[in-house]
Amino acid sequence: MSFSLHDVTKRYNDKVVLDNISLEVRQGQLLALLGPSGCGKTTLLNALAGVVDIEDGRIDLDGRRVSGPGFTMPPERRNIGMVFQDFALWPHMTVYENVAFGLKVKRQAASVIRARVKEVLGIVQMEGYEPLFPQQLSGGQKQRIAIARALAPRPTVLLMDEPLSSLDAKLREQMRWELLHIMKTTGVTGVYVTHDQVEALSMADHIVLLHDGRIEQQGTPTFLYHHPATAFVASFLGAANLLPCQVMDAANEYAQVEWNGHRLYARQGTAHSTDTRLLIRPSDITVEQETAQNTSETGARITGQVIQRAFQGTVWQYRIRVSGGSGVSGDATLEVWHHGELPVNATVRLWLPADRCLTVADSNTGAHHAGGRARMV
Amino acid sequence: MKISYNNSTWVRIRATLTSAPSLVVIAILILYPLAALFIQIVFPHLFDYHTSWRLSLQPFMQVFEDPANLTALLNSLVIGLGAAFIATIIGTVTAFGSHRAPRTMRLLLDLTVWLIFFAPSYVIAQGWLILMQSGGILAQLFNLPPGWSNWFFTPEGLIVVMSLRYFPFVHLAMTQAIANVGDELSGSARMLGAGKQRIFWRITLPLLAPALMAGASIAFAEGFGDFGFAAAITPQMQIPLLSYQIYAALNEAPVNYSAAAGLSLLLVAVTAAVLALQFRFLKTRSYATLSTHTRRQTFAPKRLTPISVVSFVIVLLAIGLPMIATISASLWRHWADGIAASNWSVDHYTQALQNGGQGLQALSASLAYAGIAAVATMLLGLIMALQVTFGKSLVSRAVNVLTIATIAIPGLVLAAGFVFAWNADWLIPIHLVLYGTVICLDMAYIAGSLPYAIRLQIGALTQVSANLFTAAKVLGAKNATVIRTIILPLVDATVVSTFFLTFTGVLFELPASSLLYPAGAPPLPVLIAAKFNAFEWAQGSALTVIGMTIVLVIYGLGRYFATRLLRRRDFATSAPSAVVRKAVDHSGQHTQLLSDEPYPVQRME
Repeated sequence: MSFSLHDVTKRYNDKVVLDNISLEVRQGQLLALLGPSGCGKTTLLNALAGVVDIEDGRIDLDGRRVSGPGFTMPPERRNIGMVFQDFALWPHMTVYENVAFGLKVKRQAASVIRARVKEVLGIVQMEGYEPLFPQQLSGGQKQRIAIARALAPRPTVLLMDEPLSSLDAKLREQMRWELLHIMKTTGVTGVYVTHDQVEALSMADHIVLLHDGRIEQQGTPTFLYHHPATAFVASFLGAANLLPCQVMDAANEYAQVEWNGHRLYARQGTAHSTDTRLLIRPSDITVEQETAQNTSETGARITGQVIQRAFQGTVWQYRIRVSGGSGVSGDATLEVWHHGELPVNATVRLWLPADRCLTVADSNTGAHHAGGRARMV
Repeated sequence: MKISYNNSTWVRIRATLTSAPSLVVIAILILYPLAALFIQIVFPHLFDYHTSWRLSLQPFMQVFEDPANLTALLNSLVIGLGAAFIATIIGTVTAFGSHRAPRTMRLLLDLTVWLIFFAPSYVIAQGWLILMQSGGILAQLFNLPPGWSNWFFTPEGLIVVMSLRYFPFVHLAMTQAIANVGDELSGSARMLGAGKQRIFWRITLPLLAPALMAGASIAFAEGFGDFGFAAAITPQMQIPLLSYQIYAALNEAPVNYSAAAGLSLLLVAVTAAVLALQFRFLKTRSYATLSTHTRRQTFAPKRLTPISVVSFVIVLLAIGLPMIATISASLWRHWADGIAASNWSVDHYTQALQNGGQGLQALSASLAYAGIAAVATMLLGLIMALQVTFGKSLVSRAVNVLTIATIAIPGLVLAAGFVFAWNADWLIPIHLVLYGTVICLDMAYIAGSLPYAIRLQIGALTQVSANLFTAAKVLGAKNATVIRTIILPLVDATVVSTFFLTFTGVLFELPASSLLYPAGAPPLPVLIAAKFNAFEWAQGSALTVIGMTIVLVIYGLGRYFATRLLRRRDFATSAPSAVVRKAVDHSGQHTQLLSDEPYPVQRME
């Protein structure tokens, strides 16, 4: 089962919350709707579920129109499953009754219901919990039951609204693996709303990054991470140094840019000549020994001073002050992740390889800077 | 494939038509009677023998030229304000007394305050009369001379008695607020070096200001519009009060229509003004004391503190003395023989419950009226609450606003409206003159209870996460299935509470009963009031005790069932476990909640 959205628009009063959204989800694919609070991702999910009407455009489920201007197929007729952030398990029903509800509504035979409930509880590893009430379960168990309830009637699409956000960090990570396993086992098409880029990157086949009701960029997790079109996308998908720069020269796929008086080299992204940022992830900057030899690799070396540091377990997180280069008097700051321990005030030499640097358009949304300082995310 | 059209005119018309019956119910039960009452301010001859639409404000102006009315207004204002002031002090003391009492003592204290809260005010007033009058219980016990209690039968005495009746409003608001002021707020002041006194005056008390204001304003509104005290005390004390003047205007011959309408308008206007002031006060400042980080206060001393002892004395004075007086009087064979050993008997109880007797008839009638009103209110309340909560039409929103607005209408004013509304000439040709019938009386009971019931059930419905309904919808459940399998089981405790709330409330309801009872078939409150007005204290007291016992048993049953329903699931999204006050609705969406009680009660007048 696949579905597609074409120019979907939704307004609340005069505020546009979904602005010409078009996307497509193929059978068995897990799509992540990613974005900050208020970007419209939950509204989009609700429009897919049929609990929110749309003003413009259309939503097709397997080629059949289910939403359009002036009409909405009610949710109970879409054959979808939904998993909620707060689980939404009915507190007056046992685990069995919760999971069996959708099947009973569809008037399945009692023996079929029993077998299917057993089967889905097996999938989510919750056999034996049938007689318990939701309040007798832990957060992770509730989430499994919520998934089982949604899967029981064999939905064509499984919609998930931040399903892991109310779990603690450790359980969230564990459930991420399990949810992925369940999705692959059942082969159901899924739409997953989240504001957590780690969840989206690690689970989704396809990510749609929303911003202010619009699609900022969409693609596979690796593509989005390595080829962000805008500073907003770059910053939302992980820690990033977004350096305000000017493109001085460009040839083939590389460009020479000037940042804070320093000449740097970068792959050419989607940036135009104005409003350009140079993206480099903190983990892609190398801290070099003073004695390091020049390599044949294209890149730039700059010198800076450690002004702050924080131990993160696997790496040290450093803030490095970089003095202005030729003709620039101000300082700028870079974030660098490095395995070795460096003292505060240490002078360091940094290597910024060209193939790890990318010019991106400043979407003027997520990235901002003041006094020539790079934004660290 | 079925498509649900959501944007067409037809959808809007259908939504309006679906919720229109709710508006019709509100119109018939509340809007029309109120309109019938207040229209006479400008058309004073509308309900004359010869109907006239002549516009005139003269009779209305005459209302304010009548010194008796002005005296009544002044008395009600002074006594209401005085009672509210003292009630605020007493309620604050008992709230802190409860907070500083050992756990079991706290429960006992709070339970007694609840008892005062739902005791009908005319029952308490009658108890005080039995106790304090010349030759009353205290006079007999201590051989006090005639006239010893003249000081009591003054406006000042009435203020004290009324404050003892209305302090529970402050107590309930304050106990909740005190519990909500987290330990961290006083703790942070203490760490900065503040002493207990400073913390109380600079931190705790200012944070409790909203609860104090809420309690005080409701105490005033209740005291100002109280009919129970007025009905019991005005004939004895000769202190005219506004509510009694309305009653008198409707009971004199010829009926003084303009006076009834004008005085009712005054009553509603003053009540609404006070509540609006309180609302405005709360709106302009933020007093949020609860956050996700709030640590509920866990103070629980092992022994009674002085303030707790004082609180117990107060509640015993407030309910113990009048109830003991009523029970004692009900057991006296002859009033004149008083507490003499040979005078104790259960004759009045056997007489009251005698088959075919006046007492049993009144009791049976009241139980039947209460049963009908409770069932109707419960069902109508649920249906209308569902429409208000889930309906998206303008009509649904209008019903929502109306239920909030009409919750502040005193029962007496509504009953006065019924007198005109269902006795109008235009109803004669269509055979709908309901005045003087059981239908009219029960309609008034329902009208008085319905806004509470709707707000209570809206509160329950809005506390349930919308995702619980959406989850059922996406699994294929239709609206009827969602209501039956999801909504009703989640709010059943509130639905059950609404039934018992209305039932117990109606059993002792005085204003509508007095003005609307069918000729020759007085309900229990009317018979009790009549007995007391005829100085048949013992008979009246026996009927009161019987009625109160039934109310307590039914209240206990209701509480038992509601608690069982809640315990059965013990889920977080439970029905609103709270008391609803008609006076205030701060949010405009949720009814004001004053307490965490699992079984809400409506106070009786």
